Amino acid sequence: MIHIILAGVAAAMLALWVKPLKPEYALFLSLAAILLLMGASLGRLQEIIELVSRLMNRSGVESVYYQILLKIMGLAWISQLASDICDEAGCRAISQQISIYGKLMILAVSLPVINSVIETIETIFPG
Amino acid sequence: MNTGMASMKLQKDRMKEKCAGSGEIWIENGSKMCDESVQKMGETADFRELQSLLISILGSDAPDFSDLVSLVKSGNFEKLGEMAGKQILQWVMGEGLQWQEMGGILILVILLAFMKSMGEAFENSSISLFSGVVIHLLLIARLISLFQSFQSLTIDYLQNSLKFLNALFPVLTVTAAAGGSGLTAAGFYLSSISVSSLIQRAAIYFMIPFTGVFLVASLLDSIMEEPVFKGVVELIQKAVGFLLKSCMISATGLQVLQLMVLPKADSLKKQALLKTVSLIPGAGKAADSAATVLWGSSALLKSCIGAAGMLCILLIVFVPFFRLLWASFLYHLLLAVLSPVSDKKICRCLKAFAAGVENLVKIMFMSAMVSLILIAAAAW
Amino acid sequence: MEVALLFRIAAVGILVSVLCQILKHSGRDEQAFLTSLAGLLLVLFWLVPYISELFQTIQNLFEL
Repeated sequence: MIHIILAGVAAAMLALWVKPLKPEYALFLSLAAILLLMGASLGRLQEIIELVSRLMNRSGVESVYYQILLKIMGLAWISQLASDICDEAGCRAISQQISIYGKLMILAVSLPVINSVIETIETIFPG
Repeated sequence: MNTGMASMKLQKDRMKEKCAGSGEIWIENGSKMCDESVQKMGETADFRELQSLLISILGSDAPDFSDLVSLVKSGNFEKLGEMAGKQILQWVMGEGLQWQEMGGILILVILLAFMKSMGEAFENSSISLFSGVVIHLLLIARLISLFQSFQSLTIDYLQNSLKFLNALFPVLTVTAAAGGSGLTAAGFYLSSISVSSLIQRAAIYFMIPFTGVFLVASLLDSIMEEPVFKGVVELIQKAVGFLLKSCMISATGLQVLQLMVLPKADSLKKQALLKTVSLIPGAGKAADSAATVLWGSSALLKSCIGAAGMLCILLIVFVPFFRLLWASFLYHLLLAVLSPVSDKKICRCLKAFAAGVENLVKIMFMSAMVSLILIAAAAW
Repeated sequence: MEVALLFRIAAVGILVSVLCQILKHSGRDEQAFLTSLAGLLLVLFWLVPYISELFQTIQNLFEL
């Protein structure tokens, strides 16, 4: 685990070194470091997600909602990542747009939850 | 109920005195005759409808009503306690204290707190806010559906208790009428039925929907930064509390009024009748004693039936009442356990839910009290 | 996906920049340009499979 963190730090140093010579390689270096880190965290994440899904089933939440939650997490993560990479490449406009798109997607994906909550509230009011 | 038992014992002793005192023939057999007549009356009193109602409410192992009456009559309180204890134990073992459901909600709350904190790891504050709201909404939906099951439990209980009262009062009236206190009985019957059905209707169509609104408003409140619905919530709390208290007070007041007036009218009638009968030469004295025995035993039976009826109401109310009480306690416990660990909003959510369940408990309690008061007054 | 990849990329970057400097000083600008392009393509060639694998994994994991 620590190796990966150290690798990230090393990548940052190297990028700093390479940037005045060939700026685009700094971006590649950071991209590679990101790939490394994400690969490592996805491994752990798989276990966590399995555990959480088992617990959710036991607590009786319908799996639809659980999937929506997962999607929200994934979308948030990816949109954050993409936006940051664009920021680093210097394209702030693209990064903002990616972030807006991510938020809209999260909203769209979580509509069933809001729908079901409104339905439940409606049933509690008579008539 | 203690006064019910006490008055019953008093009547029994009084009756024994009277039987033993008046009339030469009855001196030795006095108390035996009293017991026999009570027995005969108990056999002819029609408990069948009551019994089938009890079975439909409490399940197939409902206690036999005539058994209850004879137990109460003989003053065998340990056996009664045993029966009640058996019922309670059966419920605890059978339906259980709902650990599973509580466990489900506990797991959900923990998971949601966890995922919420994960969502807040994102720097982008709107994403974290949004995911937090969605997760919170899930919890709210779950709690609302749980609350609906509690609501239907309360409504079932209210309807059952009304059915039981409707079945009990005719029996009481018939027994009372046989004992000559027909006016009292009729008056009580009419007023009790009308009062109890009025209260039940008020509870079902008014108070229970209000508790639903209260719960939804306070749950939604817990998501927002500022309590938007606070006014509504407090208003409903006050209104429900006021309605409950006024129902109870009016029921009590009504019964007290009737207790003051109607028995006097009846006893006057009874005295007049007794005097007239005892004037008949020859069989006068015997007829006088026979009438006293009849009235006394019917009064005894009426009190027994009343006491048994109160016991049945307690049994009927026990299961739903303790279920709700236990749920309320569990959620308070959950809140206490989770509050240092989790989000403030989730805590507010749980607190709102516990308060809503408490409202339902109060409604049930009031209804049970009113039923007990009505029965006690009618069987006095 | 190893840590060595980072160092490889850094090495390529440095190598390409050095080569470019040398070629520019010798006056062969096109070759300098071609070298830098080649370096870029090489690094991309290393990175792109990993990127696509990552996105595939994310898509599967989060069921998007």
